[in-house]
Amino acid sequence: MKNTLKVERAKLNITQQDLADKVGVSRQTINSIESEKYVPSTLLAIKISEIFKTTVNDIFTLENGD
Amino acid sequence: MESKTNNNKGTRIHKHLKKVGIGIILIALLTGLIIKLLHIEMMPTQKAFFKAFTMNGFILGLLFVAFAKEKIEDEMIAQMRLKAMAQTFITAVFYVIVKPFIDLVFRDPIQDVTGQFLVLFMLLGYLLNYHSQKFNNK
Repeated sequence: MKNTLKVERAKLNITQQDLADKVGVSRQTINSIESEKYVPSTLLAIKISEIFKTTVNDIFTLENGD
Repeated sequence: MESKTNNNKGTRIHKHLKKVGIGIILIALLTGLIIKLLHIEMMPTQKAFFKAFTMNGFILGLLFVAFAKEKIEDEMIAQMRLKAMAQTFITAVFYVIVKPFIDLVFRDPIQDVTGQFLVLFMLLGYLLNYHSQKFNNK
């Protein structure tokens, strides 16, 4: 699963730590999501999309084989 | 901090118990080392008692270290713990199955895997697996 988390973060000019604090996870979790090592739960994906005032589908997109 | 994105909350113990666990491990190891290095003469019952004390202390300490909460216990940590537990369990099952054959080839007679040793093996395997996953996700 691809994501545009880094781009969205850059648009709002917030750090990984800021985003992690807002959604209640560790900075390592945000880093793992950005580097596509970890796929977040629905709950976390919705929380992240709410921070960026967009939809989950705009941030997370399926790849071939997903 | 307990994250709301973590649904697996039942198996964690307080984070301060990690330090207690490390303390118990050190005490158990030091006791074992002192007895071994100083060649203290003991009755067989005393020897059995100190062996059990050292081993059980080590196991209890490892249990505290393995299951103490992280600073932020979120869903990724829960997933890593689950993966580490599953892989360790499968490895332990294979170890129990394969060990008699290894004993048969390299030593005689075949020795059963004791409960203490199996628990120790699983705790160490779990910690190793969990921390290697954490290191890879840094």
